[in-house]
Amino acid sequence: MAASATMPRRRLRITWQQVLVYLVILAITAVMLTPFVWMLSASFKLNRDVFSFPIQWIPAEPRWQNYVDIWTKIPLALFIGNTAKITIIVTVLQLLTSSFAAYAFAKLRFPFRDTLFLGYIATIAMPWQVYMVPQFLLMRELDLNNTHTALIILQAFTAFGVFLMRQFYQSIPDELCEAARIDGMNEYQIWWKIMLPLSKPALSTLTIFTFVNTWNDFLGPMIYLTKTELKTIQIGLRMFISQYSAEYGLIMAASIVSLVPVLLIFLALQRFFVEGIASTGLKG
Amino acid sequence: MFDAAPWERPAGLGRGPVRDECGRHLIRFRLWGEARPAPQLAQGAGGLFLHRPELPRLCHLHVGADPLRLRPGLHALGRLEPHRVRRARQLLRLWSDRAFITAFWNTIIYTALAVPLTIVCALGLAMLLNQKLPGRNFFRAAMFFPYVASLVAVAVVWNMLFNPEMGPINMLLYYAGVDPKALPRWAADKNWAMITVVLFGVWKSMGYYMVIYLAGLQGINPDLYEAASIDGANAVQKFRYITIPQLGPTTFFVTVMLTIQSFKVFDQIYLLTQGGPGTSTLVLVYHVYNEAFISWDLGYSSMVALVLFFVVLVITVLQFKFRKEEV
Repeated sequence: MAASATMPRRRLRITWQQVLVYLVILAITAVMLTPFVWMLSASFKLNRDVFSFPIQWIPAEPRWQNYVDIWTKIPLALFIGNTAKITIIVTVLQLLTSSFAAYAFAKLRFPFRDTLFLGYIATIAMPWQVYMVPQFLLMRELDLNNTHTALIILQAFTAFGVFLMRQFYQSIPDELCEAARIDGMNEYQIWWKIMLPLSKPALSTLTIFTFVNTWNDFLGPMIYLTKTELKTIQIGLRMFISQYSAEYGLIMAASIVSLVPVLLIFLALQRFFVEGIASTGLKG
Repeated sequence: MFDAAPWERPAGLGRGPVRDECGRHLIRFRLWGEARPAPQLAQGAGGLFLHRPELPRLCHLHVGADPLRLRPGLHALGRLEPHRVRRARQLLRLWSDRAFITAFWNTIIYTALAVPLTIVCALGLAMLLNQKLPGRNFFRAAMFFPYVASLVAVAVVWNMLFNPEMGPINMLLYYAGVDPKALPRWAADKNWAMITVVLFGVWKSMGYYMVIYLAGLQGINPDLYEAASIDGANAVQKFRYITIPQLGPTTFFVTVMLTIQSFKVFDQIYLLTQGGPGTSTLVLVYHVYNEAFISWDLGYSSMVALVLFFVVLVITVLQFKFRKEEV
């Protein structure tokens, strides 16, 4: 089980140890993925077949009807539309605000810059659950209760995003900005024409994190959105589950639908996830 | 038009109880010695206009949003109790609120179970997947995927898999020879509910911490292992004397993050057990949620949230202290 770096020569031969390790990994992976496979398999079954044992992993007669029925039983399209709207707006706003603020914190000089930055970053430590009630009151005071605007402005600015972008900007040499300034660019142009194109990896990381977090957000929409026509996919799905608790096949089909966008994003941009966690996690 | 300029005090103010022209009791406003009517303490600047007989109605004027009302933990929402009395009452209530005490202990139990279990699983996975294996990236992605999968969908599957009567897990245990009466009832059983929630939390988040550990493992200098091999160290010794100490900062960071994550756990409990059965999985944030959005007692719920605030604050301060010592 020692790290591979120890003996690079050994890898050419297949030892019984490696076979054992491989089997262990296969077993763990199977356990990790079982819920998803089961979900997929159950989504093609009739309710009475979902819990039949031994488990029929590939249904003899796949019931595609489940995937047709979910769109009419609940306003799934509406929920997905709401979620997509919030997610896209939040992601775009966060990319803009984070990179903009990060540019100032990384490349400009102004009094109390580092103090301000530290103060801002310190807010990452405090979980949202601590201040969600006063924040809710504030939003209600502004009459933003039961609007998408509330959720959007709450998530449009994050200290995490600024932190991530600033980390990346600091690796870009200052001379580049200096040269641009000498050539007559102002700060906004430098940010837009030089920093943004150079920071694509960091922007991708931030995009994925924000997209997944906003898409999966549960408590926020649950507190703010009580009208059915405003609900996001997560609380809509939850509502469906509590209303039709015995419609196992349909519940599984709707769950699969809610997972698809995250799965696609994850498969396409997996690399940035790992890089993002590794770079922000350890330095945080 | 006015009898007196607004900044002049009305006659007679300053000695004993006074009444204004509208016949209301006046009391002195603490900071500026300005007079305002007693029953309207929370009404902002209304008192400034008291001595103008032409403007009696303005006494009731609510000028903008009172900033104090935005601090529900410390201030009565539109009530007339002084802050200090209210605050003390809320604190006392916290002390005698059995649901709060249960929630606090349950949070600690959850943390005590989930943090070590996640660390062990994440480190184990990272060790396994740090080796060069065919399909390594696929395995890493598979371990990580539960972390990004949406909670509502996986929680409902989890509840079905762990269904005490017909769930596949109990079926499997039954066919493996476990006595049907001894089968765990998972989320439906007081004693098993917390374990079910913890298992779910570990399953969902260990991929994330695995990635952090993988980064940590890759930061270890390979020369250390080589030197150890030359000295004749076996795999266990290498793990004990190189890997573990070298991963110290990573483990420290993961512990802090996991502890804070565990103290703010809510979503998975809401979706799996709803705090039940009874109050066996009621946790702090769940109590905050219940008090705020079910009972609509926003003031008291903020008091509970304040406890969470102090817990996180203590963890963060301790973290900085230890870090300084390390450096």
